[in-house]
Amino acid sequence: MNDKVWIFRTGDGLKSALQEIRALKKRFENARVEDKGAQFNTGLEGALQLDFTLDLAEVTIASGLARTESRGAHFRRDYPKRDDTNWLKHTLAYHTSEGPRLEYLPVTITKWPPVARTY
Amino acid sequence: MASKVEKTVELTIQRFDPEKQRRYLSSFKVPIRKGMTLLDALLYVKDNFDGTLAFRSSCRMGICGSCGVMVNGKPMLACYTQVLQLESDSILVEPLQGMTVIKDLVVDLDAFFDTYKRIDSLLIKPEAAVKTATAFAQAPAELRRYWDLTLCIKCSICYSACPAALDDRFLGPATYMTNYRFIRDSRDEGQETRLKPMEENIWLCTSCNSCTLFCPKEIECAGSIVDERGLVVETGSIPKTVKDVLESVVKYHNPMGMHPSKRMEWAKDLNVKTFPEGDQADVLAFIGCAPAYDPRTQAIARSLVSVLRNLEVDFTTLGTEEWCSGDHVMRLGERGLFEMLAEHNISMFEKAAAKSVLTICPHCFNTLKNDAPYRDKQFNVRHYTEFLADAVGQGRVQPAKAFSKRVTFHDPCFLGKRNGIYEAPRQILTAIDGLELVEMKRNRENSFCCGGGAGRTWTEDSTPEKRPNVDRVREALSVDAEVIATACPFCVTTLEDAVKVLDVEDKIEVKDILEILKDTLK
Repeated sequence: MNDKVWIFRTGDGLKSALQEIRALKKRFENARVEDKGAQFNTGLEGALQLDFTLDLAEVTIASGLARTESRGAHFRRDYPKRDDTNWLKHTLAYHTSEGPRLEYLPVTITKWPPVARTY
Repeated sequence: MASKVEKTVELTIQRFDPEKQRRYLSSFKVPIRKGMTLLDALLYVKDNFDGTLAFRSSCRMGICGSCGVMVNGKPMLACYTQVLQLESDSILVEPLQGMTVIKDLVVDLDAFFDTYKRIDSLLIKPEAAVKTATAFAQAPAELRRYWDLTLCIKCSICYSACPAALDDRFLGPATYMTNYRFIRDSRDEGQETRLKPMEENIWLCTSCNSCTLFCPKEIECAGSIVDERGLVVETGSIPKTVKDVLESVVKYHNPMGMHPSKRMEWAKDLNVKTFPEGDQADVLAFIGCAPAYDPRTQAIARSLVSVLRNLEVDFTTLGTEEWCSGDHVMRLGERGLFEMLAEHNISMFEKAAAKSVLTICPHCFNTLKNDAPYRDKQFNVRHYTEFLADAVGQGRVQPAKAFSKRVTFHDPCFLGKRNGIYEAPRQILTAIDGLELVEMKRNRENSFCCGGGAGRTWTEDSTPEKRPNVDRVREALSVDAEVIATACPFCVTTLEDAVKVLDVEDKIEVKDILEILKDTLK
């Protein structure tokens, strides 16, 4: 995630990261918790955290891959421009057995309409 | 981590299995690289050797306060501790002392966090002011009044190390300090509400300084408590025991309410010189109130006379012109009274013009040396253990008789934790023939207070189980010591009380080093 899914991303990098995360999720199916204790089981806590982290990593990559524009901390080197026409919308990810299903929600603009950040 | 392995350290961890209620030790050989913290080492063990090891951690950078553990007997944050800086090839890691262990290094923090519920840890402002104001502005100087106190990360290290926290009425150093942080805050309007929850319990603090000493954020917790006591004293809402001590000092210049004319009765058959009526001498012995008046500790003062005479040291005393040094008074919060006492003693020291001031009591020693206005005069103040350790080093102390007992040394906080004098008393003890010195688990900087400091020796009202002295005597018994040696009259009386409470007078006795040494000299 630090190499391929950080601020500056490319479609190729994200695709390869998605494969790696899916491979890790496959591996995780065989993960075992060494600690069998019922109290303060930090091994179980760690396993649950890893489970959730892998899900969220997949969501992060899939939604970043779909979003073919750059916006804030999501900077696609292959799509460096902001695209308000197509992408002024929130990504909603839903869990499915085949991976996250993406839907979108329009942004409600209130006091501050979004403008391009120019320095 | 790319850096090379510098060395391999044996990490021994105190484990606790809650299901089997079993305590045991596990050892692991951990390769240490430059920059590795103790938390890294624990994570290494968990990743590579034993996934069942339980410890708390989160931020890894000294902000979250989760990873407090005992490292070779000293409480610290695992993430703040560089393994290489411990300069040790074997490291013992234990859960924080004085806390209930849940599993391995994980302790129950509920009692610690519950203490915050007994104070207000939010800004107190009238409802109307909160509703109408947009901000409560503060000048930088006002912020500086309490800024240091905001650095607390609630790691519970101070609470774990605190002898007074054995009594659950005590709020614990961090909580008193947090209360004080708001008292110092110019925006806060709740001073009266804030003093209330402390009135009955703040007197349990012994000023041992463990909280300040071990705080990973170097917050002056112990000082906060003294300042808060000052505010409580000003309101007059203080327990009778505290009031009695302060009134005795006002009237008689000693906390035990004895008439000042009787101050030299301990020495009535010893022909001790006194100044200003009598002769001047190189050494001015500052006896202290307890050794002067208390029948038990008068023996320590008398022993000092024997030892100094044996060493042919020319000394004098202030006689009845010696007043309480003021240590306990000041730490009970009565700064004004302390200053009055100090002014008198300073003028006497100046008249006596002695080259050095020698104290029996580490409390007098500390205050004469480190507390203004005494400090500003830079008198050459020495505790007798330093003085005698020098004499031992020069071969001037020649014990003629053996003292064949198993002795453990209890470090007085005002000698050790406050002044770093740990070796001098041990040098004296080891110079004595036949004396076998054994260390308690908590020794030197990690020593545990006897519970007598900051006036508590006179105001003690905890049940025996919750007294630090009882805890400490149990520890001495656990190393099979026959004698607890110490170098402080208050430690002697408090520990001796605990010996009586535990009904172990046939097993162990408490002696000041001076008393032991006196008996071995010709």
